[in-house]
Amino acid sequence: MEPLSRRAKEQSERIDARFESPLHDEWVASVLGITLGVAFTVCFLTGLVDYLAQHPPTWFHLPARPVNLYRVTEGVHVVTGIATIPLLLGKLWTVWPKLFAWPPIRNVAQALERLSLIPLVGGSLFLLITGVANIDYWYSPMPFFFPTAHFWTAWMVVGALVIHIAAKAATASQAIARGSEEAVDLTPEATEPAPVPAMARSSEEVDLTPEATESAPVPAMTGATRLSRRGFVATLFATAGVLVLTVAGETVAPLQRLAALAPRNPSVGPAHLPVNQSAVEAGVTTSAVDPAYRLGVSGRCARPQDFTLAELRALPQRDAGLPITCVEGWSAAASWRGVSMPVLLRIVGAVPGASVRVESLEDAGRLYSSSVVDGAHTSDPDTLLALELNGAVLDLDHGYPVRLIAPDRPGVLQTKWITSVVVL
Amino acid sequence: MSSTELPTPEAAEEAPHGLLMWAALVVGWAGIVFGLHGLVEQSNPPAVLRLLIGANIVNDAIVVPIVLLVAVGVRHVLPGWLRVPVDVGLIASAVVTLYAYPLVGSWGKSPRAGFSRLPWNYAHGLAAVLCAVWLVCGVLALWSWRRAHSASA
Repeated sequence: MEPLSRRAKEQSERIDARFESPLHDEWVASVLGITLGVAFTVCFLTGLVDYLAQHPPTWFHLPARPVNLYRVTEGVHVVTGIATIPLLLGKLWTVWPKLFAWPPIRNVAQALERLSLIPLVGGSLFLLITGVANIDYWYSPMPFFFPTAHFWTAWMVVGALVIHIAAKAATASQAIARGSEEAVDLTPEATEPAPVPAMARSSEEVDLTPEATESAPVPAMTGATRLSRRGFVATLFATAGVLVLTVAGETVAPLQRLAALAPRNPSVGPAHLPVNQSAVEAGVTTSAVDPAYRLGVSGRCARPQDFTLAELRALPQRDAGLPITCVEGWSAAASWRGVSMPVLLRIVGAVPGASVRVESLEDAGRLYSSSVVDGAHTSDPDTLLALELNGAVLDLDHGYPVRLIAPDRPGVLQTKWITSVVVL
Repeated sequence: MSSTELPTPEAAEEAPHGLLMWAALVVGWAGIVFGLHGLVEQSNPPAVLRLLIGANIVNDAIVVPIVLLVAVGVRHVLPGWLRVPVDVGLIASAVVTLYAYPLVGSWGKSPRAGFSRLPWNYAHGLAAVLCAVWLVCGVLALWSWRRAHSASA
C-alpha cells in the first residue's frame, strides 16, 4: 500500500490539531465503540426474537416455556436501546473530526468502508429515534409501519457494523492497550488549577472563532479544569444509568418507584394492569357486551359448537400467573382465570396440540384482529381463554368477555374480545 | 502487512485493506443490501431514508457543532474548578431531556387509549431527574472548589 504523501499527512495533522480536546480521542472512541458494538448486538438478537415472535414465519416458534422468556427479551431490547442513547451521541461527538480526515478516500476498500458509515450512523440514529417514538406512542414522525422499518434498518446497521469492526479493530485494540493514562493524572501538581487565560476572564472578551478556541494553548493539566477522557466516558455511562433507572421500572418491578420517565406504570390501568388498545379504539364497546354473545369453535374438530358466556364459565377453570408483555417494552405479571386451551380442544374433539386461529370482535381488516396460536402454546395448560383478571371479571378494555392469554406471546397477539376459535 | 490480516496497530493510519477487510466488506454490504431490499419491499423507503439520512445530517451539521460551541463557551466563561461539574451536568441533562422530550410533549397521549398510557406528569418527572443530576453536580462542584482552593493555599 502506498504510504500517505507528506502533503496529505501534513494536511491531516493540521486538521487533527484543530480538534485538540482530549475527548476527540481513540481511547474514548474505542471504549464507546466496543460498548456500542456489544449493546447493538444484544439489541439486534433480542429484536430478532421479538420481531419473529410478533410476525412468526412458518419455521419459527417461540417456546411456551419459560413463561418469562419473551418478557426478558423484549425488556432487554428496549432498556438496552435506551441505554445506548448517551453512548451513541458521545461516540458520534468524539469521532466527529474524522469527517474532515484528509485525504477522504485512499483506496476502494476505504471508499466502501466510509460509504457504510451512512447506514451505520444514520441507521443507528434512526433505530433509537423510532424506538423511543414507538414506546412513547408518538407515531406522527413515522409515516411507515414501525416494526418492519425498524427491523430492516437493523439489518443495515448490523451489516455496516461488521465493516466498521473490521476496519477499526486494530486501532481500537491499540487504543485500549494504551489505556487512558493521560486522563487519570490526579497528582497535586496535575490537579492544581491552571491560570485562566486573560481572554477568558470576561464573557465579553471571549473569542469564539474556531481559530481562537480550537488552537488555543492547552494547559498540561486536564484533570481538574477539563473533563478527562475517563470522566467523559463515566459521565456517559452514568447518564445511561439514569435513563435505565428512570425507565426500566415499566418492566422491572423493583424499579417501579423510580420510573419517572417510563411510558407505562405496570400497576396503573383497569384492574391494576395497563391497556394498550382500549375497547373504544377497537370499536367493540357495543358488540362485546351484547347479551347474544357466543364463542364459536369450528374448523378441524369433531364437535364444533358455540358457547355462551355462562357455558364457558361452567367449564373447568384454570388459574395461571402470566405476564403480559407489550411490544413497546412494558410488562406486568397478573393472575388470570379461564378455560385452558387443551381442555377446550378436547371438548370439541380436536387433535391435541393443533394450531388455532383466534378471531376478535374487531373489524377483520384491523391489524392484529386475529392471531394464530401454534401447537406449542395450544398444548400448554396455561394458555387460557381468560374470563377473569386479578380476581375480577375481565374489564372491557382488557378483552371482556373472553381474551387469549398465553405464555411467551407478544401483547398484540394476546387477542382480546374473542368471538371465534378456528382449529387449523 | 499480510493480505489475510486486519490492519495492524502500527498501520492504523493506513486505509483499511487485506483479505479479511474485503470479507467484512462483502458480508457487511450484503447485510446492508438485504436490509435495504426489505425496506423497499415492505416499508415506505422515501420516508425511512429521509429520516435515516436526515438524522445523519442533523447530527453532523447541527447537534455536534452546537455541542462544540457550548463546550467552548463553558471553557471560556466558567472558572476552572466549575467546568467539569457543569460539563457533566450539561451532558446528562441534554441527553435525558432529549429522551424525555416526546413524553413531556405528551404527543402519544390519547383520551381514547385510556388513562394507563403515559400515566405520569412527565414535566414533573423530568424536573425531578434534572434536579437529582444537578444536585450531584453541585456536590462535585463543591468538592472541586475545595480541592482547587486547598491546592492554591
